[in-house]
Amino acid sequence: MSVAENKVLMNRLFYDTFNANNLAQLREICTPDVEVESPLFPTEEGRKDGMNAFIKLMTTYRHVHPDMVYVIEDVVAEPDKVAVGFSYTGTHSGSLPDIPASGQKVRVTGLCFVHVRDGKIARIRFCPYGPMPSVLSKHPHK
Amino acid sequence: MSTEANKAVLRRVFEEAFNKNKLEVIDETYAEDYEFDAPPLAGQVVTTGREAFKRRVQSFAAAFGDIHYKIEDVIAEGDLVATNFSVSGLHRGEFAGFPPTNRRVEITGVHFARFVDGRIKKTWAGFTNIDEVLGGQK
Repeated sequence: MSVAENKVLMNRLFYDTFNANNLAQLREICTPDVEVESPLFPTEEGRKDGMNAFIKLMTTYRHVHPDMVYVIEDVVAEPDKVAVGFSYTGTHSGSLPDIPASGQKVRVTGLCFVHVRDGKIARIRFCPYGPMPSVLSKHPHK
Repeated sequence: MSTEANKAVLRRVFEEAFNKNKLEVIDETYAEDYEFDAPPLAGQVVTTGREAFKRRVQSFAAAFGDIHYKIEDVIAEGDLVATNFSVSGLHRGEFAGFPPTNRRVEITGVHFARFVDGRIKKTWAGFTNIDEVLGGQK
């Protein structure tokens, strides 16, 4: 994969998959054995069943922030790895059993680091940074 | 400066300033008006300047015995360097709101650095598994 192709892969992830709410596409752009590291589910779960953990997490995000929009702020790419600084904005209008909707507008920032194999995401690590944590960081499944 | 030179600076920071506690390396590798955007630590509100950053490095070393930072992956493009890293040690002191667990832990994260004229001008960083490792499954 070229640097340019890896950037296209990140556009597909953040814009064509997350923003278009087309989570089925994760199965096309990630390897079947993708390892996903997120503060929002146990490391072991993301290692053993990263695909389903990823889809479940992003489904929950969309439920909590139905209007959420991601923006890629920075991207660093090499032929087999790519990292992204991103943000999302949205309204916390969806409730979870233990996290009632606040109606608050949020802007959350994060970073991810991706290993690319055969043109697909083989490993992805997410971490938050910045002043506003995700509302899901209060969720008990973490 | 080339991307390889920027990576070399980043590696030097992890190896010398962070792992060997040679804080003077921070004066050589970070811009004077350096800014950082990283998880808040107790008593840390200042997020600019090399001196504030040195105190932050020291507070990590105080919280974790035998502290060791490891660069798992580092990539660079333009003026940015992105790093997959871990920091491990004996969690012996309060850290980021977590009371000491007295366990050996390894915390993973991602770090971004923007370079200007060969020095680190700004960084963003966060931890991935800190709640799981220091707080247990909540």
